[in-house]
Amino acid sequence: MPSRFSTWLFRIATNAALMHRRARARRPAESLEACLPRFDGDGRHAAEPADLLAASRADELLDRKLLAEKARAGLERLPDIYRDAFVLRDLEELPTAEVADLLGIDAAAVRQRVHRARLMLRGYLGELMGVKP
Amino acid sequence: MKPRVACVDGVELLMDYLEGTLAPEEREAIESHLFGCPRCTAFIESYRQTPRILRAATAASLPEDLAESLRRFLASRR
Repeated sequence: MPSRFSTWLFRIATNAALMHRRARARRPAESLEACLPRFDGDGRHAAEPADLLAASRADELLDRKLLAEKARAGLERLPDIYRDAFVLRDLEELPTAEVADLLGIDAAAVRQRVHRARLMLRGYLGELMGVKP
Repeated sequence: MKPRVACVDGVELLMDYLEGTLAPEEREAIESHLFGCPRCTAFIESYRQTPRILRAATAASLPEDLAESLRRFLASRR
């Protein structure tokens, strides 16, 4: 069996499981709203460049198993509509137009939802690295 | 005259910018801010890396019981 196929199958199963979490009756108490970027009164980033960059090094500096657990936990904390769009667009890497068809929304709405998910998850990764959004 | 852009505007339009759906004038205004601002440069890098990091992390994070049943399924298909 080609390893590419098994990798693909594992990813599909993981992502399908993530999307079906929405059927659960109870939602996690804490969302990722607090992980959105912050700005000062002039609309400038409140954080320093080093802190703004920290999320991009999460996979270099965090233990792989810990990051895997935290990544799944972070995805579960996304609002359903953002998670579904993120899973399809950024984890499954489907084209925006295809995600729009699957979700029954227009492409602009897909971009908006994926963008919000990325912002939240980026802040969440930064938080794992010990920095404020 | 180009519209004045702050970090918050650049962040708001970042996905549209990266997907190439902005009007040329808007794109130019965003670019002239984003690439002259060290904070936005750092922010964009982490924003762009976020999907890749999540993709890699979740690809290896299937629960063990499900992973085992998938292994059995794959083995049965050989």
